[in-house]
Amino acid sequence: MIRKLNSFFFDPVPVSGVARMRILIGLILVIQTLTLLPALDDFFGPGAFVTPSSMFGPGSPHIRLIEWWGGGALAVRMVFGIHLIASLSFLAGFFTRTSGVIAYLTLVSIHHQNLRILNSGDTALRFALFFLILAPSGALWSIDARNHHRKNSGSDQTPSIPKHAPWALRMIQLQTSAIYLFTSLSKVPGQTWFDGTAVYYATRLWDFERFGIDPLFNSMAALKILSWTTLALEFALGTLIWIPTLRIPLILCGIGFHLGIEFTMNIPWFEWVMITLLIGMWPTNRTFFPLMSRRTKSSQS
Amino acid sequence: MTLKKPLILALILTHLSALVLEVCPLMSGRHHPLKTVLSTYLQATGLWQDWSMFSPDPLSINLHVEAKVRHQDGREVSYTLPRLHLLSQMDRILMERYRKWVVDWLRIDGNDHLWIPATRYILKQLPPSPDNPVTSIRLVRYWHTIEDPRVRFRKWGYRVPDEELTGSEFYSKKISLTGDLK
Repeated sequence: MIRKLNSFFFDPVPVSGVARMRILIGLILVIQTLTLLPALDDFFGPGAFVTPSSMFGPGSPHIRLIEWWGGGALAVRMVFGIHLIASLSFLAGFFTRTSGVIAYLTLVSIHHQNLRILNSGDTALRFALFFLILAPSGALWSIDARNHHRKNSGSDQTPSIPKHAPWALRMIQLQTSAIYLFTSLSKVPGQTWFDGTAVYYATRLWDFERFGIDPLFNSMAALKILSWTTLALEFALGTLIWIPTLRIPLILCGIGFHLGIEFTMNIPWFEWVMITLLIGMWPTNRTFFPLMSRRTKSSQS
Repeated sequence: MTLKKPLILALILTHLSALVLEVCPLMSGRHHPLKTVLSTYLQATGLWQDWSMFSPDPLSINLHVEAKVRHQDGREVSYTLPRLHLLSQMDRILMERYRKWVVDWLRIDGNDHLWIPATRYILKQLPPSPDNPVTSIRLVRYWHTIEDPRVRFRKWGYRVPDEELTGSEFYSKKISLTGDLK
């Protein structure tokens, strides 16, 4: 058992998994930050509709750079500016770990400035970034990797994929399956997920509406199937995903599930963060992008 | 490996224990001696979490909040906090966090600590009227309960006219002539 766990967390695997996640999470961080800019003062400034003092008592252990730097409009803009630069740098894989740490500290500080506007996508983004900092996520498809390769080989050729202990990736994967398992468990005390009416209610919330799928959303039988499928799929993504033969089919179902929600409901960023996390569940011994694999093989040969 | 293995093992063990003992819904409300330490770990690292999307049941109300703003001359105007379904698709994305604030937090009776900052925020959104200052603000929530589909099945995209929404005032604040909240 201990040997298996040791192998699970520490046997080297290609770093392509964490590098791919770095790019996707970096992209989400940058775009999300840009969408927050028009509402900086409403959400985070001194005149925001929620004051940080209403959320945290004295001596709370939370990271709060904006408050520590005075809490004024200038502090908000400074933290956002630094966050945007660090996120861009993390995306490009330039001083990856340092920029990741800065992006994380500023992201957490932004979140702690107004907890009342956060959703589960923000939570998922925090833990993904936290563990990507600890993973060698800049060792491939990054400026750091290119510089390192140039320094050591003196050539501009595409570097081969290095291998590394995957413990941080495993933590992201375990945390991802925990999300699905806990979400399905938290539905157990409810009634609508079991009687099949949950998706009916969810799709009748006007503020969440995006695009309707007419035959599905107007048939009670279809809505019941969607409710039960959601519950079953969330439970499977939290548990059965660890069975190797089921993993890829479940990841594909999960991605389809999130794309479906993204098309029909307005829950910004959550679906994209979850799709990224599901991509991070992809088996490390299986190719995700066949094209990239061919390029790497040819560079290795 | 850049970190020493014992440190990594400690982090793995702490984080997985926190997930099981502190975050897992099955442990909710149960006491465990490690819970305080694990909660501090999650809070201090920014890794606190709660996974209860649309659970235990999805919300079954459509709701919005309006501020009824009374001026010195007795005139009352309404200021509506964002209602996403009335906006364009792009604005819905940009304004979703306002919905989160209003629907999940502001309208709840126990969250009275949010109402003064909200009033202050609404005052700032109003066009300046130095000759006819605001004298009071009332916050009113309007809602429509989604009926059980077995009793009344509504088509996707249906709407209920505003006149048929239920309304109830949940906060009222007088404003001094200097603009201070009394």
